[in-house]
Amino acid sequence: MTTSAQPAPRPSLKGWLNERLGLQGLAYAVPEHANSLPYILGGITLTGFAILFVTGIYLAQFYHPLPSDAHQSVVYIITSAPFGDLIRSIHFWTAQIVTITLLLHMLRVLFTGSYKRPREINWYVGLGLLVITLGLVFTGSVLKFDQEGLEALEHNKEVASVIGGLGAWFSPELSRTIPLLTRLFDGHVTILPLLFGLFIATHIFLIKQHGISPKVAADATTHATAGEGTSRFTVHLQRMVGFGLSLLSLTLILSLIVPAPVGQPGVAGAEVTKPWWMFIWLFPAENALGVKGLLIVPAILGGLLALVPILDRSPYLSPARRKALIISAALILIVIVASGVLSTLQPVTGNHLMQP
Amino acid sequence: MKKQVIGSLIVVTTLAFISIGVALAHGTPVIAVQPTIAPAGGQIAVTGSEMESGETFTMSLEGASGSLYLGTVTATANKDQPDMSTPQAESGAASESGATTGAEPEEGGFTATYLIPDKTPPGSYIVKATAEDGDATETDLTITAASAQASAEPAMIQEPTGALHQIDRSKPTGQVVGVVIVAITGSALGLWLVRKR
Repeated sequence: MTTSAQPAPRPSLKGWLNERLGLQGLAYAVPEHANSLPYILGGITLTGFAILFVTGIYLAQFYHPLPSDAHQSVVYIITSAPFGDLIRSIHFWTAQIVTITLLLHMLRVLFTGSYKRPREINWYVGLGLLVITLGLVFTGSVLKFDQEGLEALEHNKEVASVIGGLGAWFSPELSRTIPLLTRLFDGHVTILPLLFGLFIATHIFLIKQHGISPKVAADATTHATAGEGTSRFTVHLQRMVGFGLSLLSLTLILSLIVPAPVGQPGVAGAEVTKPWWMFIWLFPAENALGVKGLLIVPAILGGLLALVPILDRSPYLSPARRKALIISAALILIVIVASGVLSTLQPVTGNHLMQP
Repeated sequence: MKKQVIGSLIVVTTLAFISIGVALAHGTPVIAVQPTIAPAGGQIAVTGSEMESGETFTMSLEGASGSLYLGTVTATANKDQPDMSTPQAESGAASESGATTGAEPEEGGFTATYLIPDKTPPGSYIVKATAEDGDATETDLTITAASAQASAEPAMIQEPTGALHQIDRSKPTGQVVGVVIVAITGSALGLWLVRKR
């Protein structure tokens, strides 16, 4: 009597990975509309952040976060570090695009009522991510320490002095031995990325818990959709990576055509530049209210955004059933855009900075 | 028993903080400069604290290009300290903030304003306060070019000959070709992933 042992079938790579990583768990149900571009903007932003982390780690190998060396080290990155100019430009352009996709994502959430019950807390987590992103953009703009960067730093110090104790971390007085620029660099590469990690993990967890918000229709109402839908999250993930690769390609081409700018070394006590587009819309507020305007206007705007889920508590998602909120938001957006355009067109005339 | 342990911990913690407070009150002299980044030709305010009233300090600005004497300043008792609006001094000289007071050494400090000479080269400097017994305390100061030289123009680099020119941002042909290939491949793969069902 003979026994013939059948050899076990050789598992595929996919099967091997599934067994060890549980990747099949990602194939949970999601609604079909979750794979449309407006609902994938958050995912595109996340892939952009992945590019920013990788390029940022590379740039940190060559950057000197000291006021006397910072600008020169940026020039070194551009002229001497291997692929330095290209990597820095990818970092710069990705930051610009990520800010746009993040704002568009927030507007989509606002327009489709995706902040409504049970997703209110995730709206606040999203606002936190917006603040963190703007913090990363701001500190990043200071680090190059050219004229624009130094002026941003001096505005930072002035704002810190206005808010007193609350601005202690942003004040040069906090540490007598570590320059503020160095601490902003620390914030850019450690504190803010750590906060980003915590907030994005919470954001994704809550999306998984509640599911993608229902598709907007005339009578659609808000509810949790976890486990519902005809598509799979793996399809969503695949499209996210697809858009992410397209984003990387776009930044590569932009980096070749328009390398990331760097101005001449910063000179203290002068104001001859304008901030990046994310902050330039605040110029009229600064003209009207002084440095306090740089605090008051964003605080009011942040307060209004925080009030959205509290004020709009109806279950309906259709913008037609939320006309007051949509029109108010549109008006505020128009004012912000118009303010930004006007400030961009105006010459730099006022000197709001305190002379040393 | 538990309450006694908690009580002991509170007492020990309180004593620790008291000792820290005492240490701070009688610590070594420290100085701070405002602003920490200043233009050549601009004004800085140096504030001294944790000093003995009546102690005199020689102030200097030290950098790679050498040392610049700023002046002398005498610490006064804290209650007598004037505010920051002391008259502006001549270039490179101190505007001292009061005279020596009292025979008993009290805790004191000073605030003095100085003008940075116009021709001070940009760079990293140390503001140093040296006491009569030779002990010194210092703080960092970054000096930039004079305010009039502020420019929104792109960065320039200096040749060994001294000539300035804009940074050449053109890329080697190989890098351009490589980037274009990666971009085309990435967008094609991205498009395929986006359209794939």
